[in-house]
Amino acid sequence: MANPKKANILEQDNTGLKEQYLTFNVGSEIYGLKLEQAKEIIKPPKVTNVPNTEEYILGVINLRGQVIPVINLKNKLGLKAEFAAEDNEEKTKKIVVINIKDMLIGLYVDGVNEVINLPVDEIEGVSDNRQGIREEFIQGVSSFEDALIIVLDIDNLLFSEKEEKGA
Amino acid sequence: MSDNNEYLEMFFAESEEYLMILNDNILKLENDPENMEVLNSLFRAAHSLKGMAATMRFNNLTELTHKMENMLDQIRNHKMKVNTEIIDLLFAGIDFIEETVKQIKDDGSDEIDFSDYLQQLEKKINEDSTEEVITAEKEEVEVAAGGDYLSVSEDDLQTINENKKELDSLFAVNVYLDSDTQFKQVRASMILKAAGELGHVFKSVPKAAEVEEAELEDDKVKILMISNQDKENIVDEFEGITDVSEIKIKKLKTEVKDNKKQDKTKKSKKSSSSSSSSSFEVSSSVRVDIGKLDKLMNMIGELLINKTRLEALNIDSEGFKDVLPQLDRVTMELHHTVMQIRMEPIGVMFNRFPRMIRDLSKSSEKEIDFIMEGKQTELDRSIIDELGDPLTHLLRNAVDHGIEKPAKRVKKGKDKTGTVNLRAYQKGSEIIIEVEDDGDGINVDKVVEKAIDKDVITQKEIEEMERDKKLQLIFEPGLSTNEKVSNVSGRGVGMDVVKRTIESLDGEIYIRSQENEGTKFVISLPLTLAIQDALMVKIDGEIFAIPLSAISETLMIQSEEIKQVKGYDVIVLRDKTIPLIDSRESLNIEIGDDSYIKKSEMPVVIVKSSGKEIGLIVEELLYQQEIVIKSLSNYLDNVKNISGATIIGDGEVALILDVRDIA
Repeated sequence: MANPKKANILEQDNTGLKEQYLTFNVGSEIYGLKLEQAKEIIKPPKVTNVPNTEEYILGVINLRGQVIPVINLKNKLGLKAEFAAEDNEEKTKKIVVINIKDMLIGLYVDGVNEVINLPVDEIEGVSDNRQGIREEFIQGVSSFEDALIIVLDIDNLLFSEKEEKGA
Repeated sequence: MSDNNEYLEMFFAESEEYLMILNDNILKLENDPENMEVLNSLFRAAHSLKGMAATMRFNNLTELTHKMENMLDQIRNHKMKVNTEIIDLLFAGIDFIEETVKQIKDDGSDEIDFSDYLQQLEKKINEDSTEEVITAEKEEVEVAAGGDYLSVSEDDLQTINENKKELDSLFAVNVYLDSDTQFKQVRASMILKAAGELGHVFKSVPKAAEVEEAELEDDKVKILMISNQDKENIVDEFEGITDVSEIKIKKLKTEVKDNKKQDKTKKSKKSSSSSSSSSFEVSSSVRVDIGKLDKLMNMIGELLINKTRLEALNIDSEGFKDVLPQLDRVTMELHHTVMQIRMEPIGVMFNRFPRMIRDLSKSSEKEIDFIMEGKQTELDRSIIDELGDPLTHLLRNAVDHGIEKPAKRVKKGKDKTGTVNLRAYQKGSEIIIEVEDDGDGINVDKVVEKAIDKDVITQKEIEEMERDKKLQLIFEPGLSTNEKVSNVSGRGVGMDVVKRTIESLDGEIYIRSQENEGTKFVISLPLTLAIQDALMVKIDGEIFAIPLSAISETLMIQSEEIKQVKGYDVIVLRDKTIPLIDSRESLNIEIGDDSYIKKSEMPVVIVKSSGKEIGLIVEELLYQQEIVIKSLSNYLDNVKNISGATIIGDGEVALILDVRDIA
């Protein structure tokens, strides 16, 4: 798909306040997260597997000298793993590095799409959670040019289960 | 206001220093109340604090430090005597200052309510100085006592000043007898004798030699005497003599108009005190912001990584092969030098403990001798920071649960004063810190009971456990109850947190304990934090690093050498029986049928784990390398058997094996 568009963070037009979201594919759906949380997008280097960790932790990578963890989003979201149909698919896989709570964490995704503007107040709650994703992981859904974007709550996605276990 | 931030940082750094000086010196004062050097240090510290507080416009703090400065001034001018009440007041003042500084750190204000305390101080200051004030009013510059008292000439004063000791004062005393006293001369003689015992009689009417014969003029004895006693004490003494009806006493200044001689003595006193009181003084050093040091360390780490990658490129060129060793040498020297800079004597952190132990032992009514050794042992600054809490916890335990109350100790045949030891020393490439007490010791059965109770361990496991391992159970989370919430560190500090903290520093902690004899905690820490020698091995196709400090030796063994003992695979190495495990077990990697043990020949790394040795069978031994330890992201906290990561030649991440819990 096209390169991410660059635009003003908050664009006010006649449809109300909008925010920028980075959209990406995981499995058959399109997801989005707030652009300001995303620091960079990189081609996955070799991921070193870390034993004795949760299944959704793919491993760690070297990001300019810093060791950061990489989360297998597909696994974390509880989606069924799909067969990688063609080798080509490997080429689109990316790691989205986000900055959250003073940590850098990588999200392993199947492909990255565009940066879009979503009207903030049109992100609605999910009534039909077809994918069976945990509710707190999702901030809401929004439609954009005929596509449904599932907006993720990254905070909860990464930290709510940890809290449950009692850090 | 933004200017203020710079000054604020300085303010915090310096107040910390001064507070330490104050604490230290008050402790010294307690044991040596007349020590001028200590008193002067105290006064100067309070004075400097006051100055800083005033500059930064912390008015409340300024008032507090000002009052304390006053009190310290009085003490060092002998206008106030040091006693337990005063010491406690001084300590309370320091605590308030500390609280206030903390408040300033938190929200910029110095509004702590110590008005009650200030009142107390005020009262104490005035109490002891009222007499001084009164007499001062009546005093004239030239020391004629005037009135009915004996007069003192300048020559007299000179003689007096030459002979009197620092704490002596000059008093003019008139002791009046009842008019109908029998044997007045006898009484007079007794009065003079009493005066002589209180100090030194300089002049008297009647003279001592003539007292038997002389007529007592107006039934009184006039005395000029030097004494280090208080007015009250002197009066008390004389009042104790029968037939004494009244006593008039005046304290006199001993300064003389002709000050030449005085000044010399005064000056020499001043200069000696200022040169000897360099306890707090400046070495030629620089204050460096820790952030900058950290940055420096990080950059050196990066340098090292890149140097290693450069080496791995193996470029075939003369020049290249020449430069590499140089690069190696320079990087290592740089590394060592920065490590030195980051090292600090652990005594700086130890210094907070005497005060803490003193307060604790007082509040728990125990008598404790606190001995610190090895304060000059140096450690990396960041390690020292982390050690504060664990050591505080262990020391508190030693006082609270270790040392028994004096009566109990005596019953047991021990000295009524318990001893708590805090030691630090270097042993090889490790720093050892010990906290030892000669108290109650740990009741192993109770620990075991609690452990079973809390499902930490099963009865069966206990039966197979050695005593030392049972003691280590104390570190299990969930076992550290029995702690009343302490008012100092209410941060949920428990033994398990102590262990975790020590381990996060790559260290280990052991306990030795004997009931009724005492307990000793031994903490061992690696000397260098961030860069270590490691053996790189391959396990399951991935490269792992094992710190050399954890390795006893490496060897290839043949499958025939493996024996079975109690169902475990072991090898016998020079009389030692060492258990073997497939390294993949500790990494929870699927082994399946393909266990390393089944091979005909396998590489084994013998590691030290929890005081024992165990042989890790790996896939392949690679090479030895100096690695820069990178911490695993905070998001991955406490990954079992992995202590960190490092970046190897090709830019990939290799994990560092933590073998401590593998046994």
